[in-house]
Amino acid sequence: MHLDRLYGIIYTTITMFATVIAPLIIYISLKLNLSLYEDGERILIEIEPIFVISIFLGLITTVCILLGYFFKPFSFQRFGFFVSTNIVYCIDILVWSSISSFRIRTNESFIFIDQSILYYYYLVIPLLAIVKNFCDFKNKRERWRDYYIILKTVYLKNNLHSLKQINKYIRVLYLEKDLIKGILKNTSSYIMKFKKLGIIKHSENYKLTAKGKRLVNQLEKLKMYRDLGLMFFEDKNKKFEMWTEKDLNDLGGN
Amino acid sequence: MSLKSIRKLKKSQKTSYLLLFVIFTYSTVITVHTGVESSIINSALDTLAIPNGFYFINLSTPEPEFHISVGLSNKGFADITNFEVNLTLNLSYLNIPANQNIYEKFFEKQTIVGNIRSFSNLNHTISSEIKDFNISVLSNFWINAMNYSNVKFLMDIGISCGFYFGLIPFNIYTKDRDLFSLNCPTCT
Repeated sequence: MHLDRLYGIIYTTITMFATVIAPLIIYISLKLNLSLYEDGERILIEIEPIFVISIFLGLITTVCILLGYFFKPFSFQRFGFFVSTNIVYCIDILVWSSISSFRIRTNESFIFIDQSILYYYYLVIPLLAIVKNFCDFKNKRERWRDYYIILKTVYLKNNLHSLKQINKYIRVLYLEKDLIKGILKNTSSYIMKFKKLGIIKHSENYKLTAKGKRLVNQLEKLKMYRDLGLMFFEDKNKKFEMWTEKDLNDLGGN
Repeated sequence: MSLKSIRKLKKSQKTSYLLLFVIFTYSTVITVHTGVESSIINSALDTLAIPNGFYFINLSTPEPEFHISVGLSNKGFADITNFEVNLTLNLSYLNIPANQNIYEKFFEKQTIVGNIRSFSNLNHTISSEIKDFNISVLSNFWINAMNYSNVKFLMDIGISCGFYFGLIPFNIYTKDRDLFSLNCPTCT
């Protein structure tokens, strides 16, 4: 989670530099240099709106990323903001491509060069990034679904005092075998992470802290296991609601 | 990340890492490619010269002559396509008896040079033919030359070509360049 915040800061800073600060520097340097030339003013008037639009789009891109990081990694809001970022970035590239289509007419001369094709190559990057966003989102949700299952087990069974016991309960849950296998592989590392983040405390038994309980409530509201297009369960009827303390007792025993 | 840990990843995680690698590699390659291509085009345009050292004009009738050299260096890996030069010569003067400014075209020539191969230099001479001149304009001018002042021989240059497999069109047009003030060692 702390790492996520660090990534957020780095990603937002890089984006701000690439989409806001860099165009601003280019614009200021062009303004300073072109003012020395006879037709400089004319050129500036032509390219000024493009720079203004580009910087504005850059600000939207940066704000979208920033807002995205305010939401949990598994939330649809974050995914939505990240996808929006890439869509705005696509538009920004198209705006930049129009700068490279350079057409200046003065009383005595006319010059035209269109290098926009070189910018169109960049369109592939945000499009690939959207696919990556989706993969990341799916991975994160799968990871958080695993967290949720472990946390819920600890929450429902207050008397679990060892990892072995947690694994025992998870093993008999009414879930896909592969899913359980995946969780069991990582239980110890997840529990260690939870302890580090203050989500779980372990004195005699494993117990959720207030922070952990809030997180479980948050995850419960998301109902990730029923998301459209992200079906984690083969059978839609195998609902998570069936998983109660009574079920756990019946399935796992004490 | 070791190979062993990559093998352990899920399919969607592998896709995510692969995409990250592709995005990083692709953006690096494209940035380098765009930068190199832009600098190749800029350096080619820097070498574009008319006249490229050689220039000759003889406007006496009945057989006027005009020769001018064009130079361009293609340092790119792609041909410069459809290189075309349009030249126009104009006469500007003040007709003293009529107190009238006259501007007349007396020469026009379109030269299609074609493609300039990669890593090669173009050194082409455009030579006039009689049919390119409007002899009557020139004859009239010489007959009544004593009645004219502020005489100027002006040249319009239009160049068009395509860079980067013809995907980057380029056009330049300059009007009314003073022929006799061209910085040219062979000018008379």
